Amino acid sequence: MSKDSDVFLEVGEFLRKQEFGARMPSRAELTERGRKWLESRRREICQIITHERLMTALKGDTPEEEQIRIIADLLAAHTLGVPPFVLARAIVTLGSHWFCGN
Amino acid sequence: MELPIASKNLIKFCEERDHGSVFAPDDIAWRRYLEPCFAISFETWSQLLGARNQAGNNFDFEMALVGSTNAPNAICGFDGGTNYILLYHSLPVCLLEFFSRLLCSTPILSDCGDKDPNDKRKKFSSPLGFAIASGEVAIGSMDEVISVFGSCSRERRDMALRLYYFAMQFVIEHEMGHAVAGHGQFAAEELCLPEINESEFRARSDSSTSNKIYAFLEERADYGSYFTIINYPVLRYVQTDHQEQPHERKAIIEEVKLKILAGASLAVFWMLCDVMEANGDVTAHEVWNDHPSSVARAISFCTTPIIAAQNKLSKAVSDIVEQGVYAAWDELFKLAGTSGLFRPFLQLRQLDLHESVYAGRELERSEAEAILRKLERYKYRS
Repeated sequence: MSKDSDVFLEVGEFLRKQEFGARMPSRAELTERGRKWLESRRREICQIITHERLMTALKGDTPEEEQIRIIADLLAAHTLGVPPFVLARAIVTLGSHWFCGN
Repeated sequence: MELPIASKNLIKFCEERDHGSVFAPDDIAWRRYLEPCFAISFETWSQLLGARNQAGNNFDFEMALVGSTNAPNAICGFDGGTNYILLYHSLPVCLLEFFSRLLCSTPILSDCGDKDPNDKRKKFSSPLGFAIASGEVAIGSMDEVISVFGSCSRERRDMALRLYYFAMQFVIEHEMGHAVAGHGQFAAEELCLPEINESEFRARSDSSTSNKIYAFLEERADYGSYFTIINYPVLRYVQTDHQEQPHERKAIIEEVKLKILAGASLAVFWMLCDVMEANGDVTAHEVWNDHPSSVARAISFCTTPIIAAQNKLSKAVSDIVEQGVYAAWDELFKLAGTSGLFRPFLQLRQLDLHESVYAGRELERSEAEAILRKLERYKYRS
């Protein structure tokens, strides 16, 4: 599994915990669900954190855990349906281009 | 029951959560293959609409069929105070194929209908229920599922359809069980709060504890489905003010037997789904995650209805349920001798059944009782 797939899976698993199924979905389904959810929220997330603030947070010399904390703080006041630190980890892993690129 | 019309909120929920698009089957498919499955749950629980739970929510639900590319499944989601019961379109298709082929190619219910030599000519390489999903066979309608996969004996085709109805009713009622018990609201408010901090989230998501809680809720939903589909009709029969006739008693025992067989076979279908997803790993159906293993669910189908009847209902009811269940066991043991798919049911003969199937995988009794106490706030009562 790539790091990208891991963060999609983490989002998918969180979404899955909010509902019940007749059976457990496969990892592939959960990964795809996480990816689609993040894609559908990309614009909203980018509007919240803005491209400039994202670029500042993702500066090369900032340790990854610190980047996650900064972005989670930016997201904390917004209800997006997934915990801010889960989203922040996804943003740091996937990068600014994935979220705010055109 | 008319085909439900999906609200905008339901459509949005399905799209946002990657459950696909709501679609309306044609009138024939609805009347013949879906309405008989949805109607019991819809009519039973519509009476509860508007009931308020102690957590301050009014009971509301919507049901829909969704076109999903995911594996066969059904979902109970909760959003904005409404429970959404979603049935993936692949589930009725796969289950109708599964039961049609089961009655065509195995000795199940050998006293039903005449053996037709043409049945033996219907051979497919995919496992039962997966010839359409795997692309081996293309079909254009639910009627065609029966004509392609069903027995040439009319009685056995009709029996396949009857078992399919029961299996689908179990699935839908399982999801309604989550809704009526308020599991969605409970999960949203107590298990996965989006605003909790990371350390708390990690602690709550500790896979063994979290999975055991979810598996416990799944068992409760299964239990609810046994009660509504198996025990409650027997209770109504016993309470009906009539002179009991031997043939009526025989018919209700037979119905219990068929329902248990349908439920047990449904669990076999879930086992096949597990094995297919695990690329043929035949131990996949023994794995517990946030659901009990498919084998455990299969065994529960064959044991829990009796326990539920004995604990909650009169002796007259539990006598009928017991006879039906044991008749189903006989059938399952016969099948286990001829088909590997049904071999796990031989465990029903083991004296240490509980130890071998459930022990160590479930919540401790005190933990389960604590969850049940919390759930009281979320339960809807008429």
